[in-house]
Amino acid sequence: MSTYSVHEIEELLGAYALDAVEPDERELVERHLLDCPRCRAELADHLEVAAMLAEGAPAPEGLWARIAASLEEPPPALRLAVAPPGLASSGDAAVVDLGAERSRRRASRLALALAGVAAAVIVVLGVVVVRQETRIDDLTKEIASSDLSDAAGAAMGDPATVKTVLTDPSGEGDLTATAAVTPDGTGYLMTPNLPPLPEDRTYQLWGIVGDRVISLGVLGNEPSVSVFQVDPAVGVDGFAVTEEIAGGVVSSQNDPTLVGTRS
Amino acid sequence: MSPDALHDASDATLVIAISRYEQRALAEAYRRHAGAVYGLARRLLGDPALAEEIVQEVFLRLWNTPEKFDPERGSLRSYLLAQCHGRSVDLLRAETARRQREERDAQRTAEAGYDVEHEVLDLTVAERVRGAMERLHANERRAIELAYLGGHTYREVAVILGEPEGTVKSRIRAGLKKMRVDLVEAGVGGAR
Repeated sequence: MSTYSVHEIEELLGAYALDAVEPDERELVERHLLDCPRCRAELADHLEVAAMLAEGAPAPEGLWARIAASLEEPPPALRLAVAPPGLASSGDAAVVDLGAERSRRRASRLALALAGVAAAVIVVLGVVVVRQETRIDDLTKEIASSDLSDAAGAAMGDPATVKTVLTDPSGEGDLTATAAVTPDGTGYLMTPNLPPLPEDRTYQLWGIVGDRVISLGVLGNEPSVSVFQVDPAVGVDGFAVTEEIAGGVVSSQNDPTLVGTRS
Repeated sequence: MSPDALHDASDATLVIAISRYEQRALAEAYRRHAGAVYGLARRLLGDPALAEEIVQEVFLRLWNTPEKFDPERGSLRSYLLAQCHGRSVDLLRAETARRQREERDAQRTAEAGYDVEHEVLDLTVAERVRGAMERLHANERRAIELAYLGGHTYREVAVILGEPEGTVKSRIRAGLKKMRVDLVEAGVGGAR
């Protein structure tokens, strides 16, 4: 199968788009597509045309209900990152001010799985956020940045949006960011002048809810506009951005690059 | 996201909402595309129950791994239909399905004239697509139909049409390219 030339692989693109190639050829094409943007574009065109050949039929009644029912499965239990407040370990009062003593007490209280409604809400937030993080992060990378910018711009223009300005806590420099959270809990973080990080580093966004610090998402090494999600029932009191290893961390020990509290 | 916003949402926005586990966003994707997915699966498999399973699988996959959809590589519709086609063809090519398929082909011949409804696709679009199809050389058209709607590999198509494999392969590609040009000129499918 290594006898295929690039030209021959290109000739397969139409058949490949229609799932009409042999398995070994499929593999060849897929390998070629990885580093050939031109062929990826051609394939996308073929797929669009093919999609138009598909003749619709009304989907059977009850099918959506069955699909919806199978979505109801609860989130995977307890990858619970009610993040231990470590963000402000350097003592930055603007973010969180929690002694180690207090955080231990709080951790054990949480472990009791929560008599307090507020705590329960926070746990829910934590679970949801952590569960969503990876896929939102992956997705953010895929979405054309213009699309995100439009959505963020619309959110900024909405008077119901809660906006928080983040600044450099050292008071030096002119780094700034804006977090905009719409009433449905969709948040946008605009970071126009964060310096790019090396590939193996990332910025990470944290939300401050009461005296807890919760990861809201890994922003990548060169974020400009990022999307995140908070439970609209829970007010986020403030935000912080830290620099972390690529992939992010469950709780941070690093000094925040940016912080801001809701005014 | 409000119902109205969902209704007007772009594919990309819809999929962001799905990634946040917004069931309504998946419902909107289903409303827009389930008919096409179902129609294609049923056409390929000839079995409504199997086709339903495919639809279910395709939308569950979108729910579970929305990040696999890359809006820069094409529309959500073509993504979902490609998933549907791939899965249906896998099933078709499974050994156990072969015999049923032969029986079904016989039955289809017997029922020739049966026409699939165009519920989802805009009728003008359907018209233009059909027009573009008709402007292809008969052999290009046959090759594309046998591959896409019949689920045959290009090698099988070559046998069916009694033509060299290389010719069939080139015809499929050339035919798709021609249709693309034709449809873009007609103002269909240009936006991506």
